[in-house]
Amino acid sequence: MRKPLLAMAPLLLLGLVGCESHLVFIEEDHIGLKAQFQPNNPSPAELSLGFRRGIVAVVPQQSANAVTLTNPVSVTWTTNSITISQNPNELMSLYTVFKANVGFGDPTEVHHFMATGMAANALLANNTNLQNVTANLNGFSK
Amino acid sequence: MKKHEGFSLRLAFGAMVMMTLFVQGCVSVQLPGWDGRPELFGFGSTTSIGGTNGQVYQITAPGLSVRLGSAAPGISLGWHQTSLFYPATTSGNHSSPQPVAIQTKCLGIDLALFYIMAGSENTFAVPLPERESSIVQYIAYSEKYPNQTVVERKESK
Repeated sequence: MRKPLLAMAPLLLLGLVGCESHLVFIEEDHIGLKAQFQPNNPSPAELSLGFRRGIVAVVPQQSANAVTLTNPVSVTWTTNSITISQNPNELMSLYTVFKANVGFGDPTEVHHFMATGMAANALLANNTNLQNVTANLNGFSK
Repeated sequence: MKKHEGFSLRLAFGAMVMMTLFVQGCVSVQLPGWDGRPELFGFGSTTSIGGTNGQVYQITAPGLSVRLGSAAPGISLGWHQTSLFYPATTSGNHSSPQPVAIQTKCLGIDLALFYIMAGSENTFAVPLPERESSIVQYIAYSEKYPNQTVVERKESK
């Protein structure tokens, strides 16, 4: 009985040390055969053969735990700045903007902006900051 | 039952020997390093791209690659490249740097915990940050202009 377990050890080890964090943005393309599985289900949840390209933005579920903010926090990035002063028992707010190169066979080019939690709330309350975020997703100089 | 177990073990051992011979010794293992970044042991290379506005840590592993301490764990046969995006500065409380984005490229066979792939694949993913934190994060990356990579992240609990 131990011998099959030994043979499966590399896969079990992978599971133990694997990254458990969830993804919020995925851009993928593949050519060939791919079978994706779900935990506790030996049948493939998704099977694709040939070419597939996908850009997926995931909205996270709310957390069960509330957050307590003790002091206002100032966050500055590039040329923008916001102050987080309220604590609305934040769960999981997320504001994200992305610009991706989606041409067939083109090299990956991604601009991805993300604000979570109270930073996202403060950003959404300020229309000028929102416009700045979208305007600053520039291309690359040739 | 015993006969079946012996056959499974011999099959797994035979497959490992055949793969090692097939890749002509191009075997590598990725394990977690002391600084939180994965380290490569065996045949392959690691490079760091960028500087002031964030860094891309690129691990290239041809042949048989076993990734245990990686953000993209798995086993691949062929050619595999993992790019980990680290911000230049963080204001968080992490003791070890966490990649804010991960790019993987694979040509050949890739086996991970929840998928099997044969062919060519290119994936770029941004992990969901820890809950109960406020984060402002910006990533700009182009394969054509990797030196212009920008990875910025500000975090508050």
